[in-house]
Amino acid sequence: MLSRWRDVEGALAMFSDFHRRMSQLFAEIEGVYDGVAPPISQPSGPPINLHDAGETLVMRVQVPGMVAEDIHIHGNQEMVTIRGERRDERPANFNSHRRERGSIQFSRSFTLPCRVDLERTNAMVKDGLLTVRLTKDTEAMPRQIMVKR
Amino acid sequence: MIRDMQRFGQPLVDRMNEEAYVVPKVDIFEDDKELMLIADLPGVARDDIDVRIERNELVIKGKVIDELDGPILTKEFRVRDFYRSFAIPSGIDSSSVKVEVANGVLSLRLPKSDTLHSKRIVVRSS
Repeated sequence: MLSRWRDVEGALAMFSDFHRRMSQLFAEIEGVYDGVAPPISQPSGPPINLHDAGETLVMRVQVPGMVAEDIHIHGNQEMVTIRGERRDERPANFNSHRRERGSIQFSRSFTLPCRVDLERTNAMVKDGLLTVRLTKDTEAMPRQIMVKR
Repeated sequence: MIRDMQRFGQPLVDRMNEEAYVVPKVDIFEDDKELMLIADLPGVARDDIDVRIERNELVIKGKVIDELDGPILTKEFRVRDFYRSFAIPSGIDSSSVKVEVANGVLSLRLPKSDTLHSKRIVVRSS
């Protein structure tokens, strides 16, 4: 006879722990293959997130181990190109067990969803995360649309 | 019955999404004297990194602050805390682990205790 399962909380806790352990397991398996984790479907270059912040576009790029001197950004009003390099700091005389990080040397061009004013753009890198704030061109600024009665 | 299952399933999915972590990429090296582990934790400040060794498990956690910049147009990385755990051999001296953090990269040097130092095995011919 079926009885109602009351311990839903306990079951959920078990599943989320299970889920985490399974994610770890898959990550470990990927890491073992070739010693380098295969990129699933990533473009060549560091991952980028782009947000629409009203008057600006905010781009965040993961560049662990890199400082401002390692990164070069140039662009026009519609496209931004980011180039960068991180040296591979493999210690001398050590054997590798696992290499997932790779040496980052990249050049990525990113088409922007609207035109931006390059004079009012700033970029900052902190803790291995690059943040680029691009002010939208006046024409691309959000505008209110008046509703007529 | 179906409604019960839906009620069960939705919080499960929400919970799984909430608690999911990002697994940081690591490099692991070894020489005679120590193990070295380097992990990429981009966007994590030094104070938000937690490293623990308990029994034979090394756990690395990195807290990520979501900047909430606005609606997302392109998403190539998840903004979630980092978490990864490793089984480490028992000959590691956990009290003298050296930790360095710079530019979102965590470097750990785990010295091997004397029992783990590799010893040369001499091959003799008979």
